[in-house]
Amino acid sequence: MAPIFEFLIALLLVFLLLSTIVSSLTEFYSSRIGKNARAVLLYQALLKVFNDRHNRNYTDDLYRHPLIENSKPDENKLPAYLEASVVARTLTDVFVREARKLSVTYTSAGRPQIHEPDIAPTEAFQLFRQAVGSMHTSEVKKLLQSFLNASNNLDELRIQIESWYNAYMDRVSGWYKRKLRRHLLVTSVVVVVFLNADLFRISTALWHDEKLREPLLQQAVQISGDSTWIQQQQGLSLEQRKLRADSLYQSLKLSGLPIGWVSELPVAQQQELKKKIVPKGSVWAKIRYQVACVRELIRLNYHRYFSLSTLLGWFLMAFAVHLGAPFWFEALNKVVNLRGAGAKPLPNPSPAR
Amino acid sequence: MINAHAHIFNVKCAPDRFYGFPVARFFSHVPGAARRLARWLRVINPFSNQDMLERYAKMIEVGAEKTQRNIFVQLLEYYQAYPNAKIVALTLDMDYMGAGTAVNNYVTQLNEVADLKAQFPDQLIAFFCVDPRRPNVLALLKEYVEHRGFTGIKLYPALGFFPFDQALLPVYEYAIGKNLPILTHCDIGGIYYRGPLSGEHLAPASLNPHVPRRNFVPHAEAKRNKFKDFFSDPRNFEDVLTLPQFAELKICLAHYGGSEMIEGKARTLTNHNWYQSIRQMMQTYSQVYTDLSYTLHHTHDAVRVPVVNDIRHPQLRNKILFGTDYYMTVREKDEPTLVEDFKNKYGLTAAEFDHISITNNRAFLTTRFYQP
Repeated sequence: MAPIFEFLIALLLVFLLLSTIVSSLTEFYSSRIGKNARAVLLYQALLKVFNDRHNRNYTDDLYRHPLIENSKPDENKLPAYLEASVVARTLTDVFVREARKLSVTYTSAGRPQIHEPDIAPTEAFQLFRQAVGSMHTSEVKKLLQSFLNASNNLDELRIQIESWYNAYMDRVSGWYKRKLRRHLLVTSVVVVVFLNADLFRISTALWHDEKLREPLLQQAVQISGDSTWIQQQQGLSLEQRKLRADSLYQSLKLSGLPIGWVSELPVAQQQELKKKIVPKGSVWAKIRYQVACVRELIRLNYHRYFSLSTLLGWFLMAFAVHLGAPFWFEALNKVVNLRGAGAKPLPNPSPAR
Repeated sequence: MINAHAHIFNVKCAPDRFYGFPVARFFSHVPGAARRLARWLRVINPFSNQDMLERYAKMIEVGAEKTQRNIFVQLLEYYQAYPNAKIVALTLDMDYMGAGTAVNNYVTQLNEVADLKAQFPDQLIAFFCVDPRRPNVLALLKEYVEHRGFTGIKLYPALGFFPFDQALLPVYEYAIGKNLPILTHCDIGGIYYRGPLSGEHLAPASLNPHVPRRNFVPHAEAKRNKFKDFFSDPRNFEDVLTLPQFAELKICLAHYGGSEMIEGKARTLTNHNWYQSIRQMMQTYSQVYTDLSYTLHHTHDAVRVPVVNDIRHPQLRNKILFGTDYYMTVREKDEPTLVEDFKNKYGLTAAEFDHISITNNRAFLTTRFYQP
């Protein structure tokens, strides 16, 4: 195989493994707080439309309405999803009640009495129109008028609101995906810096060292031959994802690639730091050990770690990694097939993953 | 018992720079952020449940409640031991304080409190905050008093206006017509106007035709947190009360001027003691009151002794109201402790406590149409 192909396949494999680690972490994050993030984004999206500075914040009315209030998972959480029919029903009810508010009067003894408005279903549409008509001119008023202009009764009005809401939610989903991609990029940067995975150093090592490429090539061929590799990843539970991320990290470390901080420190200094910190054995001690190694490395070779080349190497690696495991899996498959031999049969076909 | 001074607005009602820096927006746009910050503040010192961070964390946490209803219900639970407890919820119009915009503007805040009044007609006494800079404020006030169950007026001059503002004239006329109580912030602490000072701030005209324009121009360069004392000075109300038609206007100059004024430690730009002014005004005008909100958390002698003496003073005993200033006080003490400490450490008899918390509050809060 031409060295250029060997180099390219090994590099693509590094991208794939790192992006799989990042995907696992992002999935872990999404499952823990992602649902809340979706709920916040939905709230913010509705706030963007219904927070009317010329009148009032109707999002507040929507979220306080029992139809939506009761769909909250608990008192302090927001609903992650709202069905179009629920939003349409709530919005019409908020404005119908706006036209005929409940009122407070007082008895001769000065006791307050509450008067609930009696609203017949037949007059609801007219009341909605009346409430919108009495609003100060605003974007919300224009939006509501556009619904009114296309409807002749309350049912048609609700259909108008539902179709608008569904279209709007499609856009919100797009925002959510973009937000997730930003999270993916941030996670990629964190992982790449944490692993000290500098694209330039890894590329240089792979280009010059045939022995380094050899085991990676075997692994790449193995992975590319397994069309279910990505699907397997998606079907894993959180715990399995964590284990997989850990095993991929170990395989990267064992491959001899210039990845990680500790390995760069001279052995004598590693031993010295280990004696000081690791015997305590806790997770915190391990983290402190890593931090101490980084500090020692920076102390020994400050300029290298803060050089433009390293920063650029980290950034390019992070950018590549954030493109995602499916992207790099496809790219790896294409390049492996491109070299002309397809997936080469392995001497030992037992699954190594 | 009646708590004549409490707040239930949440962070969504507070403008962007309510705290002086744009943190309110973050808290209100990211639900749960304040709660998380509060938790982190606790993590910094997890070994004490009474340290300063813990107490600020509690206050942030109350303000971060999703709705005003949650804050009110929580407060009501603290008063379970008192049958028929009533709470005065003071709304706050912060739309003109020059600190940016709030997620929920003032009308949204009012609407939520009006809905709450309908749910708790006997427990909640709603006060409408008047800012004379709001267009058509009288019409809005009338709507909320005549149809939505509000029975009092709140003024917060430190947010950038004078109580003798000419635009307040119809409001005072309306208040006297309905015998509505007016409660005004009167302490050097608290939030304040953060916008630029205009000509009307520096040389304001009074609604009282016999009072010439004041001149604050020499203080134009003063910091806003000092200049605000000109807005809050209790003597400003003398412009109103000396007009014959407003001699019977019911005004509560809240906080008794503040604990620092009672101790004689406070320094304003005029070095005037507000506590003494309030005492004197309560003796001069038949319908001027004060409340002990916030100030009551101080239980040391320098504050306690003069306050207790005033509660027993024949000319002042009917003019002092009980209120706590929840949830601003959460950074000092939790509500039940605050009330119990006040009752025990001030050495008031049950009759004296009932007098300020029931009799006086009832007299102040009774209007032409409402009896608490």
